[in-house]
Amino acid sequence: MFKINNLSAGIGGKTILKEISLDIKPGQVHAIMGPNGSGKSTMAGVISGNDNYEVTAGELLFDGKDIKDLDPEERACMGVFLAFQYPVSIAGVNNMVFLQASINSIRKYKGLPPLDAFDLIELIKSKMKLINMNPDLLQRGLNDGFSGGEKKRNEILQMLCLEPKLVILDETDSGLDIDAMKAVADGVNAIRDDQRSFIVVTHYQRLLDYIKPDVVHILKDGEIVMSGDYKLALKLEKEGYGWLS
Amino acid sequence: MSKPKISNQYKYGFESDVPSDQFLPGINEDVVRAISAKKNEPEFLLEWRLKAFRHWQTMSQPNWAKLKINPIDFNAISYFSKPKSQADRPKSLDEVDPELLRTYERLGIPLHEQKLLAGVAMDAVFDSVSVATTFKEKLSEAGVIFLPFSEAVEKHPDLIKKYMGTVIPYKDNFFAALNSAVFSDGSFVYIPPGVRCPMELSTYFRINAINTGQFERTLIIADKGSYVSYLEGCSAPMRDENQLHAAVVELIAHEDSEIKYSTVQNWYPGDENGKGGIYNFVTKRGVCKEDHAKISWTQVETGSAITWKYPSVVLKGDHTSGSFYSVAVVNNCQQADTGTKMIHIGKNTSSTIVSKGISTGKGQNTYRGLVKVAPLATGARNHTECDSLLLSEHCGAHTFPYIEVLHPSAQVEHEATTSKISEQELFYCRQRGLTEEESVNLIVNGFCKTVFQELPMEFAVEAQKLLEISLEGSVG
Amino acid sequence: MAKLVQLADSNFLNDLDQHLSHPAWYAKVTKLADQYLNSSSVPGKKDEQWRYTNLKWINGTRWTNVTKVNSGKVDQLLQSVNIDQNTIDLLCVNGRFVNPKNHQDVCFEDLKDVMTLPQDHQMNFFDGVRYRWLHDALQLNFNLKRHCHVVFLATDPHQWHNVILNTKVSQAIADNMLNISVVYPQSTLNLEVDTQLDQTSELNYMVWTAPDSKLILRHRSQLGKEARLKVFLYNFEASWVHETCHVHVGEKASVDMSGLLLPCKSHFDDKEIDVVHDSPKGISRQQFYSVARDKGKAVFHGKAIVKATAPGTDARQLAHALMLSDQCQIFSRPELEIDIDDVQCQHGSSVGQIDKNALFYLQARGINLEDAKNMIIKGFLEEVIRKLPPMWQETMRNRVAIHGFSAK
Repeated sequence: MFKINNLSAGIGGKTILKEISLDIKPGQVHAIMGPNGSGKSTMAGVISGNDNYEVTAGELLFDGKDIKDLDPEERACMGVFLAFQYPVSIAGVNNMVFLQASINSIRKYKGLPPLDAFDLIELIKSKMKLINMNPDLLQRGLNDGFSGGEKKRNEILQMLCLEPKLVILDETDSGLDIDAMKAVADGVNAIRDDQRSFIVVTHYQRLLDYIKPDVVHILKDGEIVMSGDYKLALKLEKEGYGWLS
Repeated sequence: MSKPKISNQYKYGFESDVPSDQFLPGINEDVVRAISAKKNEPEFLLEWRLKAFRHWQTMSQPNWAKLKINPIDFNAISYFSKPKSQADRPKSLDEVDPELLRTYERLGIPLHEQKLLAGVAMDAVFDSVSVATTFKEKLSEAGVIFLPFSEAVEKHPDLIKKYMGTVIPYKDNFFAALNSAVFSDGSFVYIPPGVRCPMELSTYFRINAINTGQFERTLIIADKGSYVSYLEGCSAPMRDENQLHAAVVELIAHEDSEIKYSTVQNWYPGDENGKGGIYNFVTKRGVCKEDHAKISWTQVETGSAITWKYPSVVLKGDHTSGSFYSVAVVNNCQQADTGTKMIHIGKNTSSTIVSKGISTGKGQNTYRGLVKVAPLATGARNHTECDSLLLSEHCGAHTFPYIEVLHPSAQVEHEATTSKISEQELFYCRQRGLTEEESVNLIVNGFCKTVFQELPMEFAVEAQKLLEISLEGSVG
Repeated sequence: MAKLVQLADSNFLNDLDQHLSHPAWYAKVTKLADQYLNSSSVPGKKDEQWRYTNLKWINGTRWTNVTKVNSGKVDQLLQSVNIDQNTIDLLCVNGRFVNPKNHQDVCFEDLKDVMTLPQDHQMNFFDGVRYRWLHDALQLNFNLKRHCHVVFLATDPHQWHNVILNTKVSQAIADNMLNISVVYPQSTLNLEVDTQLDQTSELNYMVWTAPDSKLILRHRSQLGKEARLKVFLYNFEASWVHETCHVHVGEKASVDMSGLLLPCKSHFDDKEIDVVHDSPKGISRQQFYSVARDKGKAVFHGKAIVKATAPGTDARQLAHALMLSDQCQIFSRPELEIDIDDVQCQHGSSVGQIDKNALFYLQARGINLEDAKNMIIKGFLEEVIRKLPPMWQETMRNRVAIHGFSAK
């Protein structure tokens, strides 16, 4: 479904990711773990098309098509969804209006008619229930004045509404209390099926208790130094990252 | 908070009994010629002084909205004064008048090299002339030129001719023009290519004689790839009349070089009723002439009856950066109108402005600053923070930023706050056993921290002490 | 008047003179204005207050004679800007206030005892011209119990009018609006709006301008104890605006001023705001957002002045600007003058492009670049528009959209 081949990327001429390769099958959950500064967020940024990062070599094959030169919105329309570590707040842009624009933009790409306001509200309300999100947040500015947990719930709400094929969760668990983390995991688990794939970028194993990964990769200094199953995450939790060096 | 009790705490207000050779008060072309003659200056310099003088006569004193300035009688000022014993410049410290050396010791600035804080080369300017420059040998080994301005004119006329007035032309403003006509001495620094100046350079200014104006010029040139950190300190005796200090400082940073200029200004501020004190009307500007150059101004302004200065940076080269960190404290009837100008001309330039104003007594503190992004300056960045702290009921804090953006790729941000020390903060400290005065000091120090961090270590300590002195008695 | 001739063609002044019919008592005001103009010079770049103001257009401008009111033309103009004549409470045609129903003169009344020039330090050149060659003035002395619409218009291009509208509000209900519409195709209106709010009264007022006019606007507002004033400056359609607001905030009174500056083409928009707190516990807010395009130039010069007699003041200022073209210009001067310690004062100002991170976030949700930009600009403008009373918000969104900022 999604393949990374020998990907190298960096920022401002400095190489951060070095010849990374990954092969994610439909329905799989891959966890990317690693210490601070190992390149986890760079990876999320490169896949979603943030032009702060330069891709210097390699391919990003999404359903067989290299997406590395596509605009971020085109990748989003194809089904790449990034749950941001730091969702941007834009006062004045209504959360609901934003979600409508996003949903309909992706529907248009898929050749579907836009949803009218009634269908849309119904859809959004039903998804909000799933993650126990306060409906008032819909009428506020986009992430404007949201708490950390509310922002992450908002990311998950967008994910549920957009029904992407590949979801990247970039440190979605950071700074969340246990209830918020459960809500995030519930959201993710609700849309897990044999077609949809996930990349879960995290520093701690905590989140993986709720979203069980098929494969765990350890990223260190921009390279994948080890891959394994869920047990690898448990070992990291117990022993930290020190033993890797 | 109880009502402020104001005590006069100026500790450097003694007068030294040093006989001086002083011009009669007054200004005309003959005085300008006489100053130049006293210093055996080359013809080009005299010409320049005269041009400046003639231009000055066509100008009028600037009138700023927020400053109350008693009229200055420019003919009542003596434009040249030097200690008598300095008639012939001393060759070494041993020849310096012992009374002079004692003056500096009382100021806490011993000139004897063995007593000096390790690693600081010092030039002391007493009234109009430089009396002693220390560490000459060590500096010359590194190729660094650090001389009194008048000596530099004799020894390096080519450098003076090439650079003087290129950053601040004599026409720049009223006080710069006056300085250009009658400047007496000052410091000159040249750092050759690739040299990291081995020690902090420092000048200490002292006005002693009565009815004297001090008009010094400082010129610092950092050649390609060099680095220098320069410190400046000032004090003056307590006198009932206002004394004028109109200095000019020019900085030139060539490609890839860096100049850090720090000032701790503690001129006599006048008494609690606003009588006497120094008028500190100074023009300071640096130019980042070529790519990757950096200039940083840091100032702690606690003295002077009136301070009027805007240390500025012209960001001409690409990828250049300028910064301005300032703490200005006004007490009693002091007035400060200070800030900076950041002129973005090159590509991808950046500037930072952090200004902390503290007002107490009836003091009036004004930040006045310009951030200008020229039409071709792509990728310019500026961040400005102006915070004012009000410690008494009747003081003033004013903020006048000018933001002019002529290129859309710029990112210019300005934030400002004005507040008093909150009762909660104060209560918290006192509940933990601090006195009210200690608490205020602690909070004020915290308020100024980002600026003090920019000062070299020795100066940071001095600055904190000065702050305590100038705030003493302002609370409870 | 030699200095004035420097600035404007002498025909212009003659034209102005010809159309004046001052009551006898006004002679003393003319004299004061004359004195002011003689003692001050024509503004230029060297004056602090005028350093960013483009005044070249005045120079050498020729002014045609003002023609008699032609009701057909009035109807036509109002139609062209979608103003229903039935909604108009007061009309000012070619510098004269008339009854909207029958076009009969209604004014130069009631002002004998209340007309004062601005205090000397607030007075500017245009005030001098206005008082010297005043066409008409009117006092609206009533309680605003509903929406009130005052329309200013000129029937021919190249006219210049000096008009004063004095409003006294002793009791009013929030969310009702004094709405001032200016229809001055290619002409110049030099208008003063004075508002006096008595104790606990409330007023909202909005000034808007049809395209292609030049507007010089002086607001003077005096707020009594616990009075509340909201001012909405949305005259962004005009091609040249110089607006000066001077507000005195009384004890526990509050003023909330907001505005949009959206200069495009080679338009110029200058807002000079002075909020003076001289009584305890006043609240003031200034919120001005600019979006500059083409060769547009926006100037914000906001001042919050807190006198020693105003403890407990809370004053805030926000000025944000987006630059969308290479040749647009933004000038911002958010100033604070504080003379007492017991205050809460803040200002924030930013100038720049659309935030790249925000753009990426929207793009990553499938929204294309152009739409994402529009969405962010619209959100930016929304920050100000949402301050309007709800019934006016949609109208404003439409106007902003017609002015070129629509999100899809």
